[in-house]
Amino acid sequence: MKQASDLSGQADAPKRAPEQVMRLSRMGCFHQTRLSFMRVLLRRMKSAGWRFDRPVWRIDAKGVGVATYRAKGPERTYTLIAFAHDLPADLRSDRVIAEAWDSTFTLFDGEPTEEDLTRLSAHVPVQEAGRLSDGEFVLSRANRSVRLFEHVVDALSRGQQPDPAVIEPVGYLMRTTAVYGSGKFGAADRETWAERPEFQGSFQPELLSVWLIRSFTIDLAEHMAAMSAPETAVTLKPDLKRRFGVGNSTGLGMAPFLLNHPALIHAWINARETALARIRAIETATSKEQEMFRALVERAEINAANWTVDHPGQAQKCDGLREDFTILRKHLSDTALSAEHPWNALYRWAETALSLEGQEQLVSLMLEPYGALIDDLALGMSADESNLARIDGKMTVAALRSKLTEIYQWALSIDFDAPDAQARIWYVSEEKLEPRLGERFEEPLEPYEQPLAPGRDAMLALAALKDFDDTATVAEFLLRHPEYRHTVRRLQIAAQKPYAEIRDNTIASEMLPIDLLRCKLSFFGATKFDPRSDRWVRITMFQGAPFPDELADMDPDDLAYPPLQ
Amino acid sequence: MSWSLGEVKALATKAARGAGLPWGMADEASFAVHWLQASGAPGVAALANYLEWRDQSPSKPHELCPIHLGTAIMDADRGVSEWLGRVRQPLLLAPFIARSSPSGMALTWPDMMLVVSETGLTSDASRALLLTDEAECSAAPATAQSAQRVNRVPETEAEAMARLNHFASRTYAPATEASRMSGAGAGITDND
Repeated sequence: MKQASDLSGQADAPKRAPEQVMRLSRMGCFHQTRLSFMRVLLRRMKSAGWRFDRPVWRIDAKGVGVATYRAKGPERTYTLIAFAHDLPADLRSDRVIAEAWDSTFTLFDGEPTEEDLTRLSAHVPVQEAGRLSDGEFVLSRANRSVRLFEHVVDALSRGQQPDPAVIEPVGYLMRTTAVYGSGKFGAADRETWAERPEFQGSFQPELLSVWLIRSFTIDLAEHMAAMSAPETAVTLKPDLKRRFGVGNSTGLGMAPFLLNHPALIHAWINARETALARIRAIETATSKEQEMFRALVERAEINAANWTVDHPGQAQKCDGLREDFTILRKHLSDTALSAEHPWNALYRWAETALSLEGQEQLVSLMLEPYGALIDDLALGMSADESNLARIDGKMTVAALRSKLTEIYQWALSIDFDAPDAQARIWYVSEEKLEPRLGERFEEPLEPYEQPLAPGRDAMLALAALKDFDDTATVAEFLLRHPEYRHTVRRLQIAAQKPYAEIRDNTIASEMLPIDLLRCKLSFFGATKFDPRSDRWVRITMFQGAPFPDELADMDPDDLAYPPLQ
Repeated sequence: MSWSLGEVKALATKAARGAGLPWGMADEASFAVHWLQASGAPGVAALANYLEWRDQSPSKPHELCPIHLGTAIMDADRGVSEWLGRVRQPLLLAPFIARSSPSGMALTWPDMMLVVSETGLTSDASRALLLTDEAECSAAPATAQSAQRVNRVPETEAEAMARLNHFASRTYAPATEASRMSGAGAGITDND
């Protein structure tokens, strides 16, 4: 076995293997990093000197009307258009099948005219039932957190600041229940803006929208307080205001994303793993870097302490994480980070001492002091998927078989005839055209199965390959077995991009969709993962981040963890 | 009203799958529709026409199938032969020919010649000719001009879009109260 010192002596420590990283149990423990897309967005807008204002505010005392938020960059301007509604409580639902919301939004490419606002007022409030044009990039909506919104409006109207103890467990005034981009419901295709420097990376227009929505939620609460008590009302103090992010409620609709975008997922995970490898290869840490890391450990511990969930599985993981922090602090008090290859040593220690939650939290924290070394990786966190990956028909059956056996090694030992191994079935419901997860052996769903079980399909393809000679080609195989075309395509992508494929059974009875959601949302930069079941999760976005009027004067990266008390 | 190419791509995959193509072939059909529409050619209508014909004659699913022939040419990667054979909706072959011969190729059938390349296709043929139901096709090397890109599918395709939607709906499972509650994992309060 190789000693740690052998590896740490290398100029560039190896990346973690996909067999280790791409397991659902670990992906379901990812935390935000400085490569997360929210943080990339704020860093970029800060360095490019973006300016922000609110040209339109036509909201009445009941909180109904329209507002616009303008973001002016060096080359282009974007405008968030917010429609505020008076939603009866009985219609308020986070479910994607809802048909009315407290507020609805679109991100407009440029500055809308009055005609644009009028046109969009007929489409944006009805969301999926409306139509956007190629002048709009994002469609979204949000509902109030009833418990917190009323508390804040009430306190402000009485001239008081809201109670931090009430704010912290929720962390937002509104939560979005969908943020649609990339051509959905008629909006502009990703290709329209993919080359724009301000949107390099992933999900930048969507997250710009969410960040501006955050301002709207605060403005709306302050406005309603002022309208109800003009004599006494006050606004939120900046430090307290920053503790409000935007919530998000995400269900199964998002889960298949990781399976449907293998090249993109590789780009994300590869960037994160490359960053970790670069950090582990560092020979010595400066005292400044060591201090920064130690302080961040304390701040992340506050975050972990404030992370409250009802979900039993996640509650257990959170308890484990809090214990991990105790163990980590003890270890750090006994360990000098001034030794050689301190980060590699710390990571190797963590693999033996911490839970997966703790290990992945540590990975995030180790990246923090090293923006200069790793932030460039953010530019590679996208993939041009506009063209379907072409199949290499000349690949031999021998090579195909060998690659299938290697990449799906984890599946070779699974008996897919056993009910537990394929208990679940992914399908799309007629009612709302959204992905759903059913019980294969209890509901008549098999004719509607989506191709979201790569491991099982790879094993079926391997079995079908028994009838072919080693020297036969993929082209010949697919001519007879077009039903494995999607499997061969995935395989050929994963052969080039090792983090493209999840190394786990996505239809097993014990599979937890929230692991898929957590992985994706961590790349967005979400915090406070709060699973409401095994199938949907609430999160907080941009909590602690600067507001548009603060961005020029504050360091958004320093605000990613809560301040020390 | 118009559609984004992304919407059309997603719809074409579902429609082809709904009509019985395997998923990986449905992805290829979608690629073809997207490619054609991005060149301003009626890809949506061509796929709708083909799927309707196929739906009426399900006994030989690969017979005359432009997706099957197109992917076979692409996978074999031996260059495009002169005689391609008889297919339904020959327009759907164009994207595969272009991918096999990025620098340019003429795809011909009676009364029709399309020059295709990786940039798209250029043609001033009538819609009716482009949407020829069935023809013997051949190919020959040709010099392609750079094609214009179109980034929306216009309102005029509404009827063809509706026909694809009909096939796409076959991929949706009818909702039951049980699946409504458990399938998405709701059932506890989400109004707090």
